Amino acid sequence: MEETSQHCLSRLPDNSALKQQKLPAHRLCFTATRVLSVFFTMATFCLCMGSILIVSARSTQAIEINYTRTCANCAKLRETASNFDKECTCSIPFYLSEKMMGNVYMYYKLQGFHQNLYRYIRSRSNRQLVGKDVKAVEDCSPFKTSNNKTPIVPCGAIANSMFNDTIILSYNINSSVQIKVPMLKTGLTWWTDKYIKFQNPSFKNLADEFRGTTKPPNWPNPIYELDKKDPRNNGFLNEDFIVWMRPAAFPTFKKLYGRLNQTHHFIEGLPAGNYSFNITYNILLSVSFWIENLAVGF
Amino acid sequence: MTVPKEMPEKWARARPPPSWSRKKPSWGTEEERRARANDREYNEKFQYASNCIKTSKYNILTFLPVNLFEQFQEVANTYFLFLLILQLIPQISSLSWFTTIVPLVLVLTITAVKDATDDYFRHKSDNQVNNRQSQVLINGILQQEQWMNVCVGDIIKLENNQFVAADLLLLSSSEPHGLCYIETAELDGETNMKVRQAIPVTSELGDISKLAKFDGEVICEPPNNKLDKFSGTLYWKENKFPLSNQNMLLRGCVLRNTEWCFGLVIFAGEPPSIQRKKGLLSSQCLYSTLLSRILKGPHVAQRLRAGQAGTRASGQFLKMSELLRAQGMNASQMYLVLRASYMSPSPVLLIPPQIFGFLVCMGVILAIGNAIWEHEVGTRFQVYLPWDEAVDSAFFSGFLSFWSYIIILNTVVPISLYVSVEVIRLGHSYFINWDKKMFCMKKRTPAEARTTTLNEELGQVEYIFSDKTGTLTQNIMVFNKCSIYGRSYGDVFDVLGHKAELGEKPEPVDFSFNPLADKKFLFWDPSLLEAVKIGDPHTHEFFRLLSLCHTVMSEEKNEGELYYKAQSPDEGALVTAARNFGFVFRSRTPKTITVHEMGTAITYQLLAILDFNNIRKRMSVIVRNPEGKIRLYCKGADTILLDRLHHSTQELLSTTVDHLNEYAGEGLRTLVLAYRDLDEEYYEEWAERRLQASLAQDSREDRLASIYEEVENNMMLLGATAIEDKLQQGVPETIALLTLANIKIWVLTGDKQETAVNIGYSCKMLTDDMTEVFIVTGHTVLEVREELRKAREKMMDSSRSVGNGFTYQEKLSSSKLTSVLEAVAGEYALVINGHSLAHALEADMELEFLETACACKAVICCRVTPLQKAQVVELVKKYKKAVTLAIGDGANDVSMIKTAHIGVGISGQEGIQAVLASDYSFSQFKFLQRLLLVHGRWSYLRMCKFLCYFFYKNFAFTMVHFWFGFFCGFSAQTVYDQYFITLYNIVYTSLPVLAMGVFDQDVPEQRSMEYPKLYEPGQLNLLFNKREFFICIAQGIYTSVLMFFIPYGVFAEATRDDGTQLADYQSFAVTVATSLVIVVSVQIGLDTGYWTAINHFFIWGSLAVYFAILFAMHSNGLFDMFPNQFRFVGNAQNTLAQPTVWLTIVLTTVVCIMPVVAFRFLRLNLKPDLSDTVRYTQLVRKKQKAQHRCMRRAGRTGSRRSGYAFSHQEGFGELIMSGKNMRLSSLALSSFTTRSSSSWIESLRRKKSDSASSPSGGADKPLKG
Repeated sequence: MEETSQHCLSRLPDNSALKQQKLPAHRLCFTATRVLSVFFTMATFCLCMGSILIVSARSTQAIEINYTRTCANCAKLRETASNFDKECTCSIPFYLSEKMMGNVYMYYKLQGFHQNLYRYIRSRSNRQLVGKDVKAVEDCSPFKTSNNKTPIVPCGAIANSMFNDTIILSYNINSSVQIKVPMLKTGLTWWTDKYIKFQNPSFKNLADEFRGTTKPPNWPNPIYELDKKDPRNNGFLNEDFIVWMRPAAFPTFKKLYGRLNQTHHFIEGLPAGNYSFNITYNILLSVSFWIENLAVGF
Repeated sequence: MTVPKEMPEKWARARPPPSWSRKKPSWGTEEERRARANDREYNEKFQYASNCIKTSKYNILTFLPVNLFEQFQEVANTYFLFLLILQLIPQISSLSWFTTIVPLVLVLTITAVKDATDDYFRHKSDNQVNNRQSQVLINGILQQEQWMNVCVGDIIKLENNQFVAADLLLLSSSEPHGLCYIETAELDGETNMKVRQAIPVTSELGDISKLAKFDGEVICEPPNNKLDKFSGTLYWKENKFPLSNQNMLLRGCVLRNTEWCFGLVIFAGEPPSIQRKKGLLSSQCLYSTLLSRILKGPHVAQRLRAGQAGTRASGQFLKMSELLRAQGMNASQMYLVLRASYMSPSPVLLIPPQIFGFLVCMGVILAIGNAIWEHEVGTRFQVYLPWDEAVDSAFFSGFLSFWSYIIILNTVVPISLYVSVEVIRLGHSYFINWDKKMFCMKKRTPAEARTTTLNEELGQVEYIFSDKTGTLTQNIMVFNKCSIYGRSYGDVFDVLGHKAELGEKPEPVDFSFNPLADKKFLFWDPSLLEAVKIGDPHTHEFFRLLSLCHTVMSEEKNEGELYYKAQSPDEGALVTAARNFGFVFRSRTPKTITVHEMGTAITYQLLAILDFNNIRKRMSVIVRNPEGKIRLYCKGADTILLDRLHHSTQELLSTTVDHLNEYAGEGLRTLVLAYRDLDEEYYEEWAERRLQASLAQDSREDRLASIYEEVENNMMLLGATAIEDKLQQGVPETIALLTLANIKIWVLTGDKQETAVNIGYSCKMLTDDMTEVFIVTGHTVLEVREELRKAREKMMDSSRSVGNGFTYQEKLSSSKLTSVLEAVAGEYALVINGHSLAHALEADMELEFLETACACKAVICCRVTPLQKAQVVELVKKYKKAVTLAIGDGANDVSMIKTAHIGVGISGQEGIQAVLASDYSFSQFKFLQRLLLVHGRWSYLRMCKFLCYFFYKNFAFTMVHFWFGFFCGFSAQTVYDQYFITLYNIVYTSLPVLAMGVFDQDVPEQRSMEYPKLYEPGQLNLLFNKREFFICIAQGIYTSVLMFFIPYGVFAEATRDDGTQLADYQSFAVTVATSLVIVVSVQIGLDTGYWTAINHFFIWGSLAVYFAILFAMHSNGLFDMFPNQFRFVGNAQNTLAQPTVWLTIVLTTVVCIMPVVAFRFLRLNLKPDLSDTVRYTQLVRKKQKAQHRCMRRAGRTGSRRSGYAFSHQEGFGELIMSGKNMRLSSLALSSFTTRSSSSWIESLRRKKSDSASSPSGGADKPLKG
């Protein structure tokens, strides 16, 4: 278009800066002053940030306890399929030499558990989890339906392999008195997960909503019995479930299991002393426990 | 001949066959054409092609399948289709299909739309041509018919200024003697008029009733693609009449100055060559070149230049094909030329095919990893994730994983690369078209990039092959000197009668006595006019010859206002000269010429024109003057004519030869004039034999030639003319500059040696301080070999004696040393003659010749044929891995222009053939320096920077998957969201790099002209070779390592500040993606050397768009609609709200970028290249302008040389020593020398030594400043 009109008027090209490649511009020049100043600014910034981080990291305490070996007998029990339903618990005592101040979080850490495999990550149905259509299992291969073609809820490999050890932390005030450390099972997830990504079909009767479906093969209980005590923490909205359903990036990962409820003895945090874990063992792979307090959040 | 078995019952004429293919066999087998006038039924049975043309490729139904088929013939398209198919296999698919299909469909659609538009315009122009009206004589009545319905054997009436509808035999016209005038600009680009004449018997058929009864039958050769030859016979009323090209009007000509004419259609439609070419055109696709470079390896990449020209507009396409006809090249030859240029090695912009090897290697490593992992680790994990049903072993899983990783890693060469490259090239082409400094005010023609694929090669040219006439010279001929009967006229004398010195021009000769004189004609020697006035018979005869012996057409719009239309400018100049000296050629008819001789009109009877051709190199006329004497006037090339003179003219001959040498030495073009008296009987007898010969069917040309040969003998010498061939503006400066840029310039000219050498001196190709100019003129193989050997030996000797001191040249050649001769010290030049060249180009000697020639600074080949021009170019292309450029203006340069990597056409006055065949066209040679040193250099630089950055960013992007593979069990899990993968190359990072590729400049344009050495990196391909490529890749891999492992290190332990996990896959993906976008944006910021507002807009805009899209993709709304597609809901706001994530991004960016900054800074200071130095000096110069100016002046105290222009002939021997001064040419030169304020050559030479030393000495220079 432009060319033809130009042709009619005159074939002389426009004298615009763009066409004559004379657009005003500044050239990048690596002069010594500029480069060095950038260097030093960056260095200062990194140094400052680094020292702040190191200091803050020092104030964080963490204790990691690996219970795979301690509960080896349970693990062995699980390896035989026939002992599937048998409960197995083990207890691990430990000593906390310094008290843990502030927020205390309890994590479980799995090692060598590949939540990031391509087929594993894809094996879930968001349509089902958002409560729109509990029978939407098309993406969930290889755990779509049970043998009799009943759709699995929640379907998919991720849900099926959910971490379901039960861990109870107890504080031994003295050799005879054991107090269960109160743990909060809320606030373990992102707001968007809890309120957008995961929705129960309805709040009324979960069992009805999930009729015509079956539980994942590895699960002892169906989805609507995940937390029988707290109906708001049940079904797809169960926080442990939501935490598990957000797959980790690397094979070794830790996931939040609970937050310390700062009441009674634990108003300032975990006091120093003797503690013990009581674990109902289910998982096969190497698992360790991890508690820590976060002094500086960033 | 094909005679159809079934005769059509009815004459069905309305519907032409739908395509060419049906007619093809008849083209192939036709041996002879018969066409009977006014007898459609008779002609019908031969099934000749209809007059309908079809250049379009598609119709509505065939468009989609045909176009897609063509597009998928592109290797790149097929490659991406293959990837797409891989992605559709669920076991392999690691990415959704849309990551490939979106860009692929985009590319296919754009190409299809472009093709469709092109074809639409072709349809339109076809229809327009096919529906042109013409008057056809049907059943005795003139009827309006559309062109496409015109058949062989029809009689057509043409009116003035109408296009000729088909190839016609001229029957009669409104002009006396059945003459008519045509313009053939559409065919061969020549704008002068040509005359055609009906044969006498038909010229009487003036009215329709007679024509309707005409039932002559023409038997002639089958349709061919020769424009200038035709032979056939007309059978009518029991008589045979010979037909020649002189009687034919070809399709596409325009009738001029003729009220009407009638013609018999002999060939309809278009010749087969067009059809063949169309097939070649079709494979042109949006991104043909680069991808073939990438996919097929480096050496396949070449362009179909003609193809591009053709797709541009059907009009041009038509012309192209007509041009082939004009060239006399048949289709298969043409095809070979095209194919040769397509297949020939191109040493430019090699993107190593290793990249695909690399891709496969990565795939194999990861596949093996997968097999091992599945075997060792995966077995335990199968409780949670059993294998697919199809997978039965770890090995098979590895195999599938290989293909999955190929899909993921293919983004190292994405589709967008091809698209971006095309966009950038298009941008560069527009810059060339828009350049005001390449716009010729006089001819009002801008430069034009006719191809878009070659811009970066313009920055790598090492050899320029130039035509002389019309390219280096203006092709404006000025009658400058003449020698009449042993006396030379034309020297400029001052008042005292001495030969005038430079600069002082006396008044030009006053031609006011002659009312018919051309006011623009200037002549400086009054003695010639005096000779005419006193009636010197020789002088009169001299000018009479000039006014009679030519093929110029005259046009007299008003009384006394004569316009000459000449076929060649030489001829026009000669006839104009005669006109001003009182021998005015006034008008001509086929049988007479009317000349005003000194005021009285004399009409000569024109008996015969023995026309000029390239073999004869002369033309003659035989005229009978009013007294009844028959005389043959002949003018022609000296070499030819001097052999045919009567022996009595020996003495005159030697004087004239002296004069001729003198003229040639001044660079003038000479012609020798002679005449011969013929007696009546001899002429009668000769004319009879000539008629016989012209009637012959076979070898008519040869027989005519020998009959002409016979009469043009024993002629009396009259004298010689000398015509000045003016140099184009700015030629010497351009050549000197290009030489300094280390570009070798070879002049290939059809002119004779003396003229060529002289032009060589006057345009500074040859200089007197050259060590030696070798002249090869041997006539035999042995002589030529010996001469070449001697030349080489001399060069070797001198270089040995100079020793190894010449470090610079050695350094230069070390990179591509092919022979010792490359490192020759000193400057040599080679002049080789056409006949020697023929030997030198033989298979066993071509290497010797090439080595010798390439060691020389300048090479001049004279008296070469168009084919030899192409051979020389081909030779250099074959053995030197260098980019060649051919520049020329005429039809004789077309072969050379097509052969060279880059063809440049001068849109001059001689026609448009060269332009049509070229890749770039402009109207003056001097623009070449700007095209190469500014546009070419920038294009190359930008393309290299673009490619470097592009590969860097894609390796950084892609290799992260590789590292992630080690953590995700090699399961082909991508690091990023699939939308990010789809959009990364199309949206997030495309525009900034495009802006850099289009707008970047390293030094201002003036600097690249001032420092021609800046051009060298392109020739050595320093900016994008394998090394640079691997550096980019290494940088990309380095970035990818940091990009992966820094977030990995952070995420392994960290948690969010509310204690929830941070190390989930989606947060990791967002973090890595964000840091990647930021790092590559910072990197493009560093790479962009020239920040315009557009760069700012694109770079900041891209970042903004990234975040906008990121948040949109992760928004609740999209998730609500498509929960399974948008899985990352809420991720952006949750992740990017974390200070940890931002610190990670900052850390990654700093660690990725700082080493690059440090490296560049160090290189700039420790090992700057010339452009850095130039940039720096400019910076310094700005600050210290005044001071710097002083320094410059002080630095110029070297050897000041003046009068350079006079001294160049010294080494040039006898020619000059013959005692005659070379006034005019030196005059021109001196005016040039004085024009530039100080000694121009000297300053150039100074620059040369400056820049030569600057790579090493440049380092400390800026520091001093």
